[in-house]
Amino acid sequence: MDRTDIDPVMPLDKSVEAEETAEISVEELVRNEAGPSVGVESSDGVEPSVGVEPSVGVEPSVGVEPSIHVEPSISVEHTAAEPALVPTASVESASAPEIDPLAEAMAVMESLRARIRSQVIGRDEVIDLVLVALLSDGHVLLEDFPGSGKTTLAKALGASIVDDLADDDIASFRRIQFTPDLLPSDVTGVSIFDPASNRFHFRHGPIFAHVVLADEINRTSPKVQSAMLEAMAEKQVTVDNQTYSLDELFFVIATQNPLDMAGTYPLPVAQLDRFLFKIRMVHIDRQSELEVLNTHRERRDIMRKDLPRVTRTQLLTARRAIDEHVAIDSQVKECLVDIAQNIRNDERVLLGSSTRSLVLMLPALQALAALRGRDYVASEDIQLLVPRVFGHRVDLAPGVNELDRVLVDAMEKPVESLARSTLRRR
Amino acid sequence: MRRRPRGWLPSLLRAVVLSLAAGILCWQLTVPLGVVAAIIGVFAGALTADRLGRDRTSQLRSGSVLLLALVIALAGTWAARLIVGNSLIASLLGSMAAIHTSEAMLWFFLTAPTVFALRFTVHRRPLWAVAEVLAVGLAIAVGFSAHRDGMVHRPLAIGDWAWSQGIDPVLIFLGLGGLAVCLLAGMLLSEERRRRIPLHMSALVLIALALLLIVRVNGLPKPQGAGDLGLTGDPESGDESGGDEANGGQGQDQSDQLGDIEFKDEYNSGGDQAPVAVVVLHDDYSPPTGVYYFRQSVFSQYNGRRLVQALRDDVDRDVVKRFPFQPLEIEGAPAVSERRMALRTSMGLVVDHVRPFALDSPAKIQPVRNPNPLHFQRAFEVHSHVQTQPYDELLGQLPGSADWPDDQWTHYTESPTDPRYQDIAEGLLADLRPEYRDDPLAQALTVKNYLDVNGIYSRKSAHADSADPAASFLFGDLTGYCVHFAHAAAYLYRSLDIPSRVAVGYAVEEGSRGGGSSIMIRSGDAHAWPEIYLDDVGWVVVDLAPQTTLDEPTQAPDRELQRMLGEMMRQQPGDENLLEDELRNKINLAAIAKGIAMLLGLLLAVAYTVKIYRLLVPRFADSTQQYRVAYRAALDRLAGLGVRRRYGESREHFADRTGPMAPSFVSLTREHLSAALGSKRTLDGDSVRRLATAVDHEIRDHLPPWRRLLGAINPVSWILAR
Repeated sequence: MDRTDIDPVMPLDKSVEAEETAEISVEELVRNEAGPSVGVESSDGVEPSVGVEPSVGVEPSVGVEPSIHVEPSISVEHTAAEPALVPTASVESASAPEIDPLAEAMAVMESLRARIRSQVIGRDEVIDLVLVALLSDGHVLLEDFPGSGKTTLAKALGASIVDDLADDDIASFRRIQFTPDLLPSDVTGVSIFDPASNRFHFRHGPIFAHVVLADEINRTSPKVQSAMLEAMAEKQVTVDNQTYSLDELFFVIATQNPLDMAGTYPLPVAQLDRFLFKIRMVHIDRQSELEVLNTHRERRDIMRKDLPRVTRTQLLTARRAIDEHVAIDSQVKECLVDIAQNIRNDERVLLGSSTRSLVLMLPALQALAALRGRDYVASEDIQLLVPRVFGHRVDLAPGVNELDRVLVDAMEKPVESLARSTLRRR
Repeated sequence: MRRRPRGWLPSLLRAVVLSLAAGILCWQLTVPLGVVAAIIGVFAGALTADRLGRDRTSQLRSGSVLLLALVIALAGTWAARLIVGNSLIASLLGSMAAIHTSEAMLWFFLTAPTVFALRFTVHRRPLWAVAEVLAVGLAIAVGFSAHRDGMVHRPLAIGDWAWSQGIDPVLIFLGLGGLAVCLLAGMLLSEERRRRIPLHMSALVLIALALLLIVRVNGLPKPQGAGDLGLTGDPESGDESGGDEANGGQGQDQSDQLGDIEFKDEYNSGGDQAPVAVVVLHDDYSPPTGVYYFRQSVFSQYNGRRLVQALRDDVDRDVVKRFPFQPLEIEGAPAVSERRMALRTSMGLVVDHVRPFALDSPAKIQPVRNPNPLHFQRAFEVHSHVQTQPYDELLGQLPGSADWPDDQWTHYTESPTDPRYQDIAEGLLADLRPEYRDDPLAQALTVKNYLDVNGIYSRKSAHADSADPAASFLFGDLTGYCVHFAHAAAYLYRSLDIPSRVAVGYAVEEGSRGGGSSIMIRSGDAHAWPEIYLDDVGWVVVDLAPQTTLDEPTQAPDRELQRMLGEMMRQQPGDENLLEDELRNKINLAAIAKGIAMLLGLLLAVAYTVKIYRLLVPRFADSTQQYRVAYRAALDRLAGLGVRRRYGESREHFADRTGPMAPSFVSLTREHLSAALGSKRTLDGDSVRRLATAVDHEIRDHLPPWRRLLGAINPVSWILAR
């Protein structure tokens, strides 16, 4: 694996980043990455920002001492573990067998997140969800207004991924603007007769990319939509009876406009099921909007300059690591099933969520847990993902429009019993 | 000055309290409609004033507002008077309707502006809140005014109800008093801005301390007492004198001084109606004279000015000088004969007395168990040999006793040297029929008759300053009270060589018994009367009953109270069935209450056991289980402090909420969850325990001790934890 392109400065930024976001505390991140071997190396690391430790009044000097693991206080241990952030991310200095794959996956996610956040402001939650979808092999449907930054988001994501496969025609990022007169071949590609070789050559369509932005997917005809969706489901394209497989890292960000419905072909529920998330974006707050205006120039200039990128291989490795190393307790699964059952049994619901959605949800939960620095799935992951995953799969009874209420009601009891189960002896 | 706006609830409550007080205060003064109008008026006035005083104080001038209130009150009163004063309106409405309307208008327009003005002033000058509190206090006092002078069963509305429930009304009255104090204190406190509450509290404490000091110095105010005859009081001093009796003469002077009666110009018999004792007759007995005499002390020794208690031991042996601690036979008591029958009586003293008193004449006295210490100071039983024959059957006896030595004769017949006594007495005998002229009883009755006809009973007299008050009375205006009459009569008897003495105690007319077997002795029954000694009969009361009295006649005793006290003394209820039912209910209730208490105690014990177990188990638990038990112990602690996870809330969110108080709890929760949900990176048990200890310390640093104490004693914190 080639990790040389990871900038050693990255972890510092990362820690700052983590400190700024409320979702993952520094401690969490740190402790999960603090492997037994890397912890020792930490002492020579970059100046640890002990000051950011929110809860402990520990002497800053203690933080850099390697011996602090014997300190009785737990808080001290966290502080001690903080420097470990640095070497874990800059893996090049660590010997290969001792690397914690999950910690590496987390580092990958962190660097992606930091990069995208530097470009897209005020959309932290959407960014996280997109990352979760990316890491759990799902696709995302963004529902928002024109000019709300979805293209920027997709481009930033695409630009953050380095294609380290030498010889293929797959680009990092492609954007497809869907229109009513678009044809399936415009998406998938077309076979062209080459008079020189007297043969047909397949010309790859825009779908052959790591990240595909399918803009206004509801504007195009069902024929194109189904071609697109087949590609999403099967990760392959069939043109002239020839099947071309797409890249393993094939990630679609589709968008649709919620207001301007004239002349559109709304996606049926069955097709929506192919998207892991349907994210309804809301306008960003005033402060963030102001920041967008203020940093417009810098962001354009410094784009992709100073922040590390991740490679395709790293991403795929991270996917596997998360799948293998993030634990899902049986209680969590029970909780999920109970929630799905509750939704189906609810009188206000016409069509509940499918079993497939539950299956899709597991990797998403794992990815979210990893993004939050944990190696286990907890109820807060469920609480965050259930509305995003089940929301567009649930068909409410006529006259009912309180989807959020239905989902919250359905979650309450299973989440409570999940919380109670942890106190029980196993 | 801007006042902090207050909620409407205190204002509303205050208005309710004020209007109820107004209703009580004007209850006696007007028709029901007027009471209702007063209540409504006060309510409206208080609320309006609160609203005005709170919202727009700055715009209104106090003077003009008060003036307006006055004008409204005057106009309203005038209008109310007009309704009954103007014949046209009155005839239009009809007379009754006119009166009612007028009363209602009058009271509304009297109370509403008054209370409005008061409340408004209070908003400007908080000191005036005192007037408000006083008004409410007055209403409470008026409402319970019947409960005084020992009328423990009044007001009847409460007393009767309490008895029918089998509860002693005293407890209820005590509780009501406490409530009233709380109400008043609450009113005073709620009026002020918060920062003045400490000031008020300290003022209240000061007042309470002052009251306590007064009580310590002066003793509790004695609601009842037998006035100037010195019957009641602390028996300790009496006992002391009794003890001195054995030691010899020295202390006896004191004891004689103690129970002495004085001639006074203003005789005040204390609270006339206040009960001082209750007597239960165990046999039916009607005194021949129509009056029950309960003798406490006698005065037989003439000291040159008046009669005092005898200094010698061989006289007045039928008088008990102190409360006995064991059955006491009285040597000097007359024997049972055809003239005297044995009668057992039970006495319960509502007010303590210096000496025991008993129905004339006691033969045996013994202490008994106090049936109701809440009401009776002490109880004793007396076997009396009471006189059964009327005066006419006692005629023909010789005066005094043949056994008496000369000095005892002298003791009982010594009288002032003033010859006028002799003159009057001899003059009276002139009218006596010859066959009775030598009969001592007939002579005494003649004297009695003279005093009855000519004497004027009055509690106010002017003889105390003269050298011989009895002479001043007898040869002067013949106006005095029982002490004067008794002394004058005794001197007259003695001047006729009839042995006599003055006895002090209580005299209760038979009529006030009301057919029941219990006699309630009231402080107004205190009395002094002369007695003469007849051979073979003993001391016979020859009391005086002046036909002319300048004082108001005493009221008949409260039958209800008399019956109640008698029942209490007898320890048996008046209505057998009802009381038995009550008793049974009470027993059942007691048993049920006991059972419930035991059950609660048991539950409490179990709860504490579980609580302590869950708190201590981290010390002994296996390292692999620490994530669970240590976290659980921390949860219990937090729950005891009132910090608990909401239903359906995730543990992480709960930890974030608790974070500001106990930062380590966030870490502890994460440890717990990672261990419980299958994380591979978990801390060892010791670290988890240290984390839990850190949570403990943070809680300790963050919270005041009283909250931690509450948490520690909360027995159900482990149920609340989840």
